[in-house]
Amino acid sequence: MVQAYILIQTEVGKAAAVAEAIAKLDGVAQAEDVTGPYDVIVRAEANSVDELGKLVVARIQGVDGITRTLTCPVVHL
Amino acid sequence: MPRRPPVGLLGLLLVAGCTGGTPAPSDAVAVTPVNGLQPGVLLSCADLKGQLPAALADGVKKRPAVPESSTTVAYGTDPAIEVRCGVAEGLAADDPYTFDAVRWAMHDTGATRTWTTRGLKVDVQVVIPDHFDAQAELLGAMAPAITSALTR
Repeated sequence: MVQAYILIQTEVGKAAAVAEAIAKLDGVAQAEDVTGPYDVIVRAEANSVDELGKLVVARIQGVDGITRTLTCPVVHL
Repeated sequence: MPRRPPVGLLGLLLVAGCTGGTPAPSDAVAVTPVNGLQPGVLLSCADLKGQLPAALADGVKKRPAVPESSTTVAYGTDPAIEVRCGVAEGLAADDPYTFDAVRWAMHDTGATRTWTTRGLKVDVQVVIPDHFDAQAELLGAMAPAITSALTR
């Protein structure tokens, strides 16, 4: 299982709705709207990096109101 | 005695891709994915793919690439523009260009120009057939997404 934090910037005023929509997606463990340089932070997990990439591309980035994502895989050193 | 389906029918089904998978969209373009990437690189490519614009210019629209991959995108009509993320950085020996703060190395093969970024966290290759005019503008249209997703 691989995990990642996805940092998301949204259109003005859309953070809460984006977080709520993303929280319902399979593979999303948590989605919160936050203050700071990013508007929503998501923790996601999948069976492989390929699956995680598809989750980001096909589903999370398809949510209305997202302008930018930055995906940071969790590493266990 | 059990009946077996005709061998010819089985072959036809296989040729038609009737193996139970999702059929490729009719406007899909074959683009070779970049395989064997580190997780961070692959996920940066996923970020880029989602942020690339729906069109680079009038009539140069994004098309699905097959096989499905976070590393590939296509644009425009045949032969299409092919975008591959996660490649090696462009060669210093190729012609250097900078469009909208993104540095490119250009290699002209005659039928296509291959543009590869230099100095990014993850580099991108764009192969543009010569029938596309204003290639700098096409690359410039990608610059915001590239800068956003792939800058160190």
